[in-house]
Amino acid sequence: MQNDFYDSAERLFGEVCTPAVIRQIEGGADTAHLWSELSSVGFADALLPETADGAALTLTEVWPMLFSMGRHALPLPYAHTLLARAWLQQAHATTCAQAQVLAQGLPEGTITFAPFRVVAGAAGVQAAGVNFGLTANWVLAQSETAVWLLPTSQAQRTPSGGHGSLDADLSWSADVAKASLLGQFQQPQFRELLALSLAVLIAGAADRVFEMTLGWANQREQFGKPIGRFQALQQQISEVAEQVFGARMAAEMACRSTTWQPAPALVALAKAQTSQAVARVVAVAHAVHGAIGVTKEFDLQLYTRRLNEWARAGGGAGYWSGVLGQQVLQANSSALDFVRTELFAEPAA
Amino acid sequence: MLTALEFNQVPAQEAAFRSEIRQFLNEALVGMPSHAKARSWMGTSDDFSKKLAKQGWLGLTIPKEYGGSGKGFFSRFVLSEELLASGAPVASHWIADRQSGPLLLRYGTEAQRQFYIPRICRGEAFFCIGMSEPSSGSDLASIRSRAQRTEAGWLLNGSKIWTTNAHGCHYMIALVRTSGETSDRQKGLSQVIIDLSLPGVTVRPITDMAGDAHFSEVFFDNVNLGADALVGTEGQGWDQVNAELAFERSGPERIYSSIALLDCWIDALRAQAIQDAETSALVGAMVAEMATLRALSLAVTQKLVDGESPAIDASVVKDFGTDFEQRLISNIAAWLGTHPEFIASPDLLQTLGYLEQMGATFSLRGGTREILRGIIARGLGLR
Repeated sequence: MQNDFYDSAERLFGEVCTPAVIRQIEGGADTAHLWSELSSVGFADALLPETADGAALTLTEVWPMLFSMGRHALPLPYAHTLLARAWLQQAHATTCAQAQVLAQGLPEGTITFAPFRVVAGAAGVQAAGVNFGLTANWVLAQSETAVWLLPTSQAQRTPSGGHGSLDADLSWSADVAKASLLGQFQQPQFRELLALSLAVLIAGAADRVFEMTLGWANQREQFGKPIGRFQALQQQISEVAEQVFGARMAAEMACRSTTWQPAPALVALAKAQTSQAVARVVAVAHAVHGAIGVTKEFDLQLYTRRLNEWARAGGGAGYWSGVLGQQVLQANSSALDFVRTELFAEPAA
Repeated sequence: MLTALEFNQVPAQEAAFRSEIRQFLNEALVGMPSHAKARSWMGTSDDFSKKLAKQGWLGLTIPKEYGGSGKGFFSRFVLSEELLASGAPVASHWIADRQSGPLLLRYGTEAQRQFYIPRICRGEAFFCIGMSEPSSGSDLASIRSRAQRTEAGWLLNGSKIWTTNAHGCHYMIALVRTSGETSDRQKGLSQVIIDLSLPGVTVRPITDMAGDAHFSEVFFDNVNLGADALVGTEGQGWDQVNAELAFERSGPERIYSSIALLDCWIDALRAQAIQDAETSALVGAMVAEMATLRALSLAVTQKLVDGESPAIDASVVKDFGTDFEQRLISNIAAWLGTHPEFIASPDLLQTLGYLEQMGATFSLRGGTREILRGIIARGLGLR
């Protein structure tokens, strides 16, 4: 990926989001410093129109940056934030013009999505298992038709995932919920945006894990030679290379757009294809690394833990394959023509 | 070294060409059952190949001066994709068109080009590839067939096996030893063209477990070849073969071998209004993977357009693709087992039966899974 955006993103993330920083944030350190360093270069508004002081880039153009975010396993929902800000800007300009929470413009800080497991009632709003719920500043949540932009600073937060997870159960009082309501939407707004964010992050993190695995296979010696010289490992690593290439291609396809918005069918393809790759990529990475790979001090686990979580978050391979499969079954074309016209935007033959 | 494969579209100007091919195929293949389509590029029809030649669709990328159409790699991708996805019986001309023509164009003498290539483009010269021998499968460098220099040319002795459609071809381009011993491995190997009608050549079709005969065994008993039988440089056969295999491995052949089954099954699901979550998820997973593979294959095509020789990338796509083709078969078979009340037509079951039986060859032909993964590992710097 020879691209200026990619190179500068790789440089920036490599400098400010080191494994040490990830460990600190997983340990509960404040995220404000990391976010100020990440946002100083103005990536956050990459997808906003120029009229909103954005860079007016397309999803296709920011794809390399999003991929790089996955490679560095940023412990903040940065990819989510880019898409959330573009969604908010559009909603503010149309349906949500009167929303109190947007009176001062788009919010400062990071934004994640909660499209599933959100419950609203007299006691307020509860969102369970929110992806990056521990480190996000805001949550765009939807329950039935109601959509909120909720501040995590005013939420009760409980970690919801396994060791080192950044996911959380969040709840807000009725007063906060009322002040945070953006409006009513007939369709689910955030399923695709969360799935796209995660698909691209998976592709990036899988690329990183593969790179580490290859490096280790060439470095670690047993029986007097690097373990990568053994055919048993070569066969597995080659298979994983195919899965990593496939995941990256699927994520790149989902970012094909001339606007900030993804095509829903491509999101389904990408989340399904990237998520199904994770189990094998992670298993082989750990098999090659041996016992050192599961230790706290070794960096591999920073990426493989995240891959396992992201694969099932926001709907996993089964869910998104089902979404795509429904479209195939409801269409009336051959498999090739469905793929060509719906996923490659080619004209009918 | 293996570098990233970037997404690219089929160029928009190919759309009209695709429509033209589709219209032709709709007429030419009307009423063809799925189990016949499943033969795909193992299905043989000299008549169909000649019809394609009349359309100007053999030798698509060959320059016009040699009787080709002078089109680009993306046109070829579109044509191959349409032929494979429709299950057209292309085996008669497939190897000549895909490998032998480009090989002769690259390494042949001017006289060889003038003689063979226009015949290939007219559908009058079908080629097969002589690589494997009874004792040389994956270990191709151990071949023993030998061509010895004579005053008039070469004297050929030995045999080849698993040669696709040799019994339906006019010529074979074979990898044989022209100097040294078997222990010299890759050194001393050369490629020669053999007219299969010559005295001393015996072709014996091999009947496979599905009842077809796609492969043959070919014996050479003191076959006299002319001096002009040598293709390219004497002793450079190994490198030439590897360049040729990059062509073989880079096309959409390795995505669509089981597509007749996928289409047949999806049509049956639609007809019986089956849309449950588990079934939808299986349909979606297969389509997502097929689309991803198509994009990877197009990325390899772009590398060919850019003048690269993407041998390792092509191995990635081929190995990934054959795995998909085989999993498609086992997944649909397993799905049928989970749904004993499903009304499976005889055509669906015959399609499945054929692919279950011959699907094992998908990861053998053109380099086994294990050989390809070894090539990928080398590209990754592990060997």
